[in-house]
Amino acid sequence: MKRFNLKKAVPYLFLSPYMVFFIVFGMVPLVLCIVISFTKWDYASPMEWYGLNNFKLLFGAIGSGKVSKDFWQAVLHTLLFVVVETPILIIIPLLLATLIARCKAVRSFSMGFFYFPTILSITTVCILWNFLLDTNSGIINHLLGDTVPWLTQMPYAWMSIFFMSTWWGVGGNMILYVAAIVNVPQELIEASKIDGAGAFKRFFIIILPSIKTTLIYTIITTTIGSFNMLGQAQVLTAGGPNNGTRTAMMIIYDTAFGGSNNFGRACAMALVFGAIMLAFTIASYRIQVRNAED
Amino acid sequence: MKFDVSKRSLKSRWLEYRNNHSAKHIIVSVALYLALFLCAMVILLPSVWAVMTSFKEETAVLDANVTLFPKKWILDNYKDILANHNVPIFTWFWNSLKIAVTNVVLYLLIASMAAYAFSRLKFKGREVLFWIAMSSMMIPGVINIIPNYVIIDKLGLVDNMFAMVLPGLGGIGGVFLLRQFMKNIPTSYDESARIDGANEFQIYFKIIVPLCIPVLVTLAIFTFQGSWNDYVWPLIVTNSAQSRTLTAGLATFSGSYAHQYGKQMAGAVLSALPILLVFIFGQKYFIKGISISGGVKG
Repeated sequence: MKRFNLKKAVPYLFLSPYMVFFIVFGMVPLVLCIVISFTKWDYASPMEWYGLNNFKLLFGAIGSGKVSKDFWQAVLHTLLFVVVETPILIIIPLLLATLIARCKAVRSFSMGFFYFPTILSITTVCILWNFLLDTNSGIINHLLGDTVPWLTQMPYAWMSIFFMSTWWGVGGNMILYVAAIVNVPQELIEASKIDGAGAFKRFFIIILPSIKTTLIYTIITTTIGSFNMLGQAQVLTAGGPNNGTRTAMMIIYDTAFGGSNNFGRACAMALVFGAIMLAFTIASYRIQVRNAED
Repeated sequence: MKFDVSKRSLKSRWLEYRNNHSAKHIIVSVALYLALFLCAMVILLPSVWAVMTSFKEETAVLDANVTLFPKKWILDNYKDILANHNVPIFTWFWNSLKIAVTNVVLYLLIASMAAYAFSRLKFKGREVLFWIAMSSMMIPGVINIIPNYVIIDKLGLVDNMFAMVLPGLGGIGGVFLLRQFMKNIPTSYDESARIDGANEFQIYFKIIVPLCIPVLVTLAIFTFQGSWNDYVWPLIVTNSAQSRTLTAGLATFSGSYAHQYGKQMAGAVLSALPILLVFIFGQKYFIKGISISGGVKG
């Protein structure tokens, strides 16, 4: 009898280490975040029940409206980054991957080469571009023979962030696309050649549908990654000029850990922002799946 | 296939190539290789410029007639940074490495055990548990940051390297990847081992894990990179400069060398070198692994 029980416990033994971490760092925080969002809490003093006030503040129902204005401005900045940078980080890697898949002699070398910036940490990349984009001594202005204030004026600050993020991130999706394109059955490509399809037609009719799952996967991961953008804005432009590049992640971070330790408000912000992010991701997934089925 | 370079001249190879391809094909190929080369320059030039700057004197960096190669090569930028106790680059590097390696080892072990249970063992609630865990992927990470800080602090782990290891171990992504892979391994392997008297732990460790090595390598690289590049979490759970990781520590680095670009670039180069070496040596496995996991996803 005892032996029988032990055997039944084996699967749970395999599962339990993972489940412990999943519950402690995956499930408990969700509940905790909701609880904290209903309180006023600076972490040092005891929690104070605050009802819906944190949310009311965010939606401008109470207070001077400054909290609400700053928060929604930051959310809009994040949305701008998502809407501009996600398509860039899909289209450029896709074109590059098509090129690399075609240039067979240097294919695996190129995969490694273009992946190189992605292995660098965001802070290293920011230090590098902070120098290259310097108004007076940066090489970019040097080559242009101009003094463009790349990091201190709009819209240049956003252009710099977009350009640097693309330079940094192009390799991540590229490498997945090359792997997917190389896996496209050769018979399909040969058949389309016999039918007289040109390179462009072949790309849209054969290649794109064949790598559909990889495309959907990368669009979702890239969207989520863009929503979480923080390092670029914090290190390269420090949220400036005039909070013009301050993102949602940055305002949540500052609210919770930037001196005032307003945990309650920061948790409410995280929940609202998380809900927006989730809605956006699900909507874009739905649209893609529908388009893919057509 | 090996090319027999010694016996065939370039000329004869060119003639063979010329015979097998149309003129249009060759012109298009040249144009495409050229385009690829230009793209490569966009990636390469900024990096080369940074490396060269790190060997220049500060006055040469700011010179209006600045050249790519230093007129006078100096090592002072590197010496200065390595001697500065406020930017302990090697301590940061060591921390990053320790944390990333611990992360990889523990996550691979825990995730593969869970994936083994989810894919090859039968027990009550298997599917329900798996899909509950999978649905956690929908919860945006930003929601977890503040509560996780509270949990880590209550566990007394602030400034401890495990603060940067433990939360990641609850991630479902790697479990999912491994489960998909393990599902494709024929069950006859386990059954014959079971007949030979092997228990589940032996089957897991001696049969399944060795078969999963390609996908484990891929997962190891992704986990390593994720840990190495994590920026915000290490900033939150460390107070002292000594316990920071390279990515988090460097965030304040450029501030302490404002407009001293030679030194900033030396710091950037030092921070990039270790991971670059890891990447160069692991590249072959990495690309192989990506192709495999691309197959799993696709």
